Amino acid sequence: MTAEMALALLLAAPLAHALAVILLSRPPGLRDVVHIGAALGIAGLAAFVLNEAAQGARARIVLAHPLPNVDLGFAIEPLGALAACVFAGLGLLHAVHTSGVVRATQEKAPARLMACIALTLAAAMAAAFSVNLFSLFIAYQALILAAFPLIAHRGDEEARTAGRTFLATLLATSICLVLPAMIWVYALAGAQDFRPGGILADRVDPISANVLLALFVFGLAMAAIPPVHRWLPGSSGAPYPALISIQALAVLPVGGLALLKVLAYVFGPVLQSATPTSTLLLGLAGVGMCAAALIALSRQDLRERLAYSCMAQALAVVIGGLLALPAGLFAATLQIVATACAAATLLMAVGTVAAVTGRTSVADYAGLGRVMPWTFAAFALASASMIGMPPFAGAWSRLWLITASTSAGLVWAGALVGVAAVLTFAHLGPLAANAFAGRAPSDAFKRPDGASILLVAPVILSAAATLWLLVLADPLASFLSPVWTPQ
Amino acid sequence: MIKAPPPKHRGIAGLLLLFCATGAVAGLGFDLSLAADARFGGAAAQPGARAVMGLGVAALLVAVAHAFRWMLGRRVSHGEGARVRDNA
Amino acid sequence: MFAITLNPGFVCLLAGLLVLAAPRAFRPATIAGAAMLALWLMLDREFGAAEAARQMGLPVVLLSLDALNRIFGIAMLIALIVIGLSSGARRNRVEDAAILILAGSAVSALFVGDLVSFVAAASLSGLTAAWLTFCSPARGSAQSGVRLLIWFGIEGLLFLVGVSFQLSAGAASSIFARLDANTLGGAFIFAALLFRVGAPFAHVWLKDAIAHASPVGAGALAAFSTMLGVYGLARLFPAEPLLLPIGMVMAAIGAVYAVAEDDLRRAAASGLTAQTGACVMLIGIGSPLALAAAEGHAFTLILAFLALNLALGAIFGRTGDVRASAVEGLAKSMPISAALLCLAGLAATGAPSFAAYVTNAIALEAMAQWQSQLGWIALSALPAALFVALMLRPALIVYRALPGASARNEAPFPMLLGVGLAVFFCASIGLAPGWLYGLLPAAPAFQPFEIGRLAPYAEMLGAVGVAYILMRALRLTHKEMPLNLLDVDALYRGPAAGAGRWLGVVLLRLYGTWRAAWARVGAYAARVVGRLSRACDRPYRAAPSAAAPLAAAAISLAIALLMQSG
Repeated sequence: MTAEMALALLLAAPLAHALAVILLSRPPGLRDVVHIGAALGIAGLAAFVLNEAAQGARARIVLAHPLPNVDLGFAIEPLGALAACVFAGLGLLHAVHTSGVVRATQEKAPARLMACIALTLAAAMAAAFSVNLFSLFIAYQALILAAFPLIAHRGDEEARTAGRTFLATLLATSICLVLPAMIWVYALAGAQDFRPGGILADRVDPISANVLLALFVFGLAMAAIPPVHRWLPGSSGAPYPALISIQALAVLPVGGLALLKVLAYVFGPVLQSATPTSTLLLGLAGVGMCAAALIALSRQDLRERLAYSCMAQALAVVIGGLLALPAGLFAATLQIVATACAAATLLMAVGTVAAVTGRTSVADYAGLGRVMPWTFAAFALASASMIGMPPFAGAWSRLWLITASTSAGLVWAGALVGVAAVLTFAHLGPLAANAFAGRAPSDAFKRPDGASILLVAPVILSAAATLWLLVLADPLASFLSPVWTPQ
Repeated sequence: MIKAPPPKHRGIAGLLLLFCATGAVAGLGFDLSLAADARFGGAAAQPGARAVMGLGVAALLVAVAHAFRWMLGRRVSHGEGARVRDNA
Repeated sequence: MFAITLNPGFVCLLAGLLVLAAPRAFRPATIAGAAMLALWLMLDREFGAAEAARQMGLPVVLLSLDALNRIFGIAMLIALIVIGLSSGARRNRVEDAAILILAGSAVSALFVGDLVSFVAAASLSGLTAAWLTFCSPARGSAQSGVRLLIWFGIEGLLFLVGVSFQLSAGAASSIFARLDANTLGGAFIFAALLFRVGAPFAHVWLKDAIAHASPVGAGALAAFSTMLGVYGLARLFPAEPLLLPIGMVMAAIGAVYAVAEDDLRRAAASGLTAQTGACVMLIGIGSPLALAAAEGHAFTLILAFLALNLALGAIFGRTGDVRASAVEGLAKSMPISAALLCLAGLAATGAPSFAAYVTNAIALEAMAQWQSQLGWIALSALPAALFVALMLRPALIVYRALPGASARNEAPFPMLLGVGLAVFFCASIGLAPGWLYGLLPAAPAFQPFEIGRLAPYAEMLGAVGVAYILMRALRLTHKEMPLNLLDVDALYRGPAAGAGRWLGVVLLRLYGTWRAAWARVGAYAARVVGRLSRACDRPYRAAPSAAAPLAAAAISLAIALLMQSG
């Protein structure tokens, strides 16, 4: 199989996956087999493409040519290949977990849920492999439209409101801010292709760079920068499989990835000339990170708490990207990968607990670790990574974030990252500890047989992925070095 | 025959007092006999000063222990510290 | 020739995973065997660093052996052997695994050669210490584990931030070298290490954890937790001036709490804090003799306080309570345990013919050479205070004459064996210290039993003993009653936590007000926009009044066009 073929299959497979799940939705067993089987195939393809990227393959496919020097195309490059592999790999575990949750909770319209999850994955893949701003924009819009049914899945008033907020915020910001910025970039550079070193290099004056930076950062509202972050906590009422797609595996990570691509491949070193805006945005992201972690502490519903926690992690990606240093870009990429693994683990664990015990509040978690030790061991590991405690994976992205901030002369940004880590510890640490420390509840399980393997195994494997990042950090650094090396 | 009375249960205080006294006397004796040697420590290193230091430490410890327990002590019931965990 | 460059601590880490699956009968052997294998790996290797690997662009040195870490490593691994032997009485495989991982991570941290690996290993040991406390069957252990997790979580984050700032100076700065506590990175790492050794205001975690740990777990915590911090200070901050006053305060606080506490395990932990303070003072001096004294003293303290904590653990395991008020007359039912407790107390105090005495002698000499009178007095008085707190008081309590007979209910044999072995090590080193002196970096040709040193020491211990026993006989000492002594953690859990909650409520209220204000602004804007859009969205109707202006405009236009064409 050639790299082009693999890339094309990887982009098309989730679409076929969605169609197959809808068509073969009965009996439920067949639907689940199709869902998991397709996810397995996509994960295999993503691994193949990652391997090709590691060998230096730079395959490119073009679907349309709407403007001179502007293609609707997709290409293999290290950052996108890594993101796609993470999304697909965790997506496989997510698929297994989704099958378990829809069975345990008798979720309504499970085939529609699974199909929309597949469509969000398709859009996320497209965003990861996008070759220019135009392709990224198209994929971004597709992701918004694919994720909307996930948020509104439950169909009640709260879900509809959340869906409207999601749609309005993301569509409005992308169309009103990103689209003009894209046109401006085209006018300046005559092209929109992503290029290490930035396509705006030597082509933009400082004032324009500042304005463009603000347009892109606020326009890519999926990165959850305040004040365009309201969609994220509002989405916390969605079903757990949908939440994992939104917060861990598609929407939120793609926001960070898209921003990272823009900052690395469009701005590049030009970011240093956009200093007033980048400094303000760094401050906004830093304060937002601390505020989100603090608000998470006040939330008793686990879904809301994790939503704000994921928002704090996402803003760390923004900080890394805005630092305009290779170390910052590396930290941001590591943060995307570590957060995807940790957030997926946490959300799957919370989904398992909700499915099996019906408990969704922080106060109800005391002692549950004694009756669900594997689930909560994974929860504890993922919490440690989210907090950034050494020696877990999240610690190394924090390490590089603070190092890069200090190297850039922005010690206060590093301090904000440190404060956010302490606040994250405050809202996740005792939660994980009390799960083991409290008295074991005598009536924990709704079902007599406890949690099925479909619910527990993905949580454990996802936590293991969090640990595996410890040894993968160095190969990742070498693999990603072309991202910040101008060609 | 008169039966021997059962042996008294004695504490260890007397034995310890004897050992401590022996150590104190022996140490003091040698310390005084080596009075000519130069020592660092100022007044605290003079012959016999360590004995005074020991007495002072004992008095200070007892006084401070009283003060700490009076200021910071909180009475508890005797059941605390039992082994069986109440959240098992 | 195949050269093994495996960090000895990794052997214990792997064994920790193995022991989870091992049958009960093999677990003590696994623990002891792992320790012996690690000891062999360490002793078989020459001094020097293994080749640095690159990890994320940073040099990572997984094994670097020198005289400093060797002496700590030997002590910790001997302690692990003793703990392995004591573990035969325990059924809990999870606790066995926790002990091995705690020991393995501590030993790994000793032998790595760069900051990043040190932080990773030290943080893992902290998290495992919390896990070990969770495993304890003691009442309140779970809450204590949560508190310990918070302490070590903060310590880990301090380490992380400190290393990050240190790395910003360049990747090579991650290799071990003396750090400056006046730099940002150095200050954070210094703070983290002070947390670890139990500096004032952070000294509460140790006694909280040990008081709630299992019988053997307490010994493991005493051996593998604070002494890693002492090593870190000796490695990274030798001759740091702040350490001298900090160590003095630690010694004072520890000694006072040791004599005042009702819970004897808390008293032992306070005694460990006091002796650790002595090590910290010596590191603060930083002369070659002082550093050698600190390292030697740490070595002896690891073994002595292991013995003391195991002895108290043996009593705790059997009776469920080691409060002074609850163990009066215990010697009748547990004579061997009581005797071992007294011997362990002597070892921890540093009585002559025990190991801590020979290192205390070097410490006094180092302090004398440094000409620090206050430090010398503190180091001189400390053994006297601990003699009262850790030996005399417990001995008088457990051997108190009480009427009536008690059935023999001795501690399990493995526990007694462990304590006995630890005491034996302390005594053998105390009687023949040449072996220990040979391990010290600055091997002193020292005569600890020279009469000029021994006599004043014995005189002091004897005098304090006589005074205390007489005061006790005269009922001048405090009455033993069930009592909890408050410490600064009451401040943290009480007013500080309350202030934090109050601040959180205030911030949330502000946030809620902010959101409500924005919602009102948004609603108002929506109403305005709605009105405008409704105004534009009217169907067109030609009103008569509208026709006149239109007709006038059309006629004007026509006239203009005609005039133009004309």
